[in-house]
Amino acid sequence: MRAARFTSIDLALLAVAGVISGVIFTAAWTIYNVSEVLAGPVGARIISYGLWFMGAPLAASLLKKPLSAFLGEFLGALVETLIAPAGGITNVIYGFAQGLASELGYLVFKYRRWDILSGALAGALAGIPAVGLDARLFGVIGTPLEMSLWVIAACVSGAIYGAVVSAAALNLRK
Amino acid sequence: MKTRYRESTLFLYALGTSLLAFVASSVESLIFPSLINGILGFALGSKKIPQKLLVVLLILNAWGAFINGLYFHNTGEEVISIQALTIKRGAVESFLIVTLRFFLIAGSTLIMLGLANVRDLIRSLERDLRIPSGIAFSIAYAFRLFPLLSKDLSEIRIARKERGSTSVVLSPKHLRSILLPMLNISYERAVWGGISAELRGLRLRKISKRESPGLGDLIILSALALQWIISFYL
Repeated sequence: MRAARFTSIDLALLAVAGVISGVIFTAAWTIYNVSEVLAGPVGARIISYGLWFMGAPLAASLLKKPLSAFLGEFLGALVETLIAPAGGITNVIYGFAQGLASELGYLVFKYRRWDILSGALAGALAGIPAVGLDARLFGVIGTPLEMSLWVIAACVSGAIYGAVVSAAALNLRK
Repeated sequence: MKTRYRESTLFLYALGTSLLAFVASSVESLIFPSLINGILGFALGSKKIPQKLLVVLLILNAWGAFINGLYFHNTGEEVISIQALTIKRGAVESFLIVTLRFFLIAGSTLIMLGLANVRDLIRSLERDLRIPSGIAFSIAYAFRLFPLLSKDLSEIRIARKERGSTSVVLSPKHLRSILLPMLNISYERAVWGGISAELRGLRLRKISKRESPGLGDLIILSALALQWIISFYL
């Protein structure tokens, strides 16, 4: 396993991942609110939740270094907090938890795979803490069946958007 | 003792009140801190964030809280009945709790953003809370990139419109087609930005001395402690 040592270029790339994710995270609020009315709680999670998990696979696919997934998600959440206060500082708490969960997606491959599969797994894993934090903060607690459906919906959404963003980052002209 | 406050103290205040929103689970324990932070935050924050946006956020959140309350907590005695829709005590309580939490979280963040500018806040986080200088550099660089990326995005939208494609993201495929050119431009910019930072001696940069806390810091932290005490003990 390589040690995480970030060069100045890595830090600048992390900033790129952070600002792009931050903007997407901010837009995701409106998408979530509209889709909840149109598609219900499960549909809203499938449509929008993955957008909030894109920071990790984006940063990891760009940097290909341990901890980059965590930092990408966390930085995106911090940027989101500072540009629009919809979720306030709780965004940072969500970003921290989702970033750690996404990091596991790369850790299970011992930081050897930075492809679409690991990106999708990283996105999917972030769904678990997101639904847990929703339950604590916003009181979104349903029956065990409903909770399971929401976790699955969040994970599916995370996997889709994780795969999309990883594919985009891997197809860059370098 | 200096009356000035450190920006990092405002960050700690916002973090502390947001944690309070997580922990407090009744209307009684949330009402005082939520109203104080909400009113103060929206008054201070409207200087930096358009008031219309704040109102839209408030309405969207209240609507979401109402739908959630109705869907998940509509139990207990009947409060109001409008034709086929019956609103029960549980839904009203849930709506109030979530709205008060939003007030508390958004309010405290707006207080932080209203009293400190982003650049000073990042500097203070690095200087006083000792966040790694690499992370501080990334956050600062992200904010420098922000106007450039908005310009890139508007140019991509124009190009898409001219080619007869929609400028609105409707599917993951659309998202990819917008992300790819943005990432291509930003990647190149970041590489040269990173090289430039290295050449200017980013690694040799010294972090300025930690500032000693002033009277302002003491007042902010006391206000935070007071809100926790009032929420749980009074």
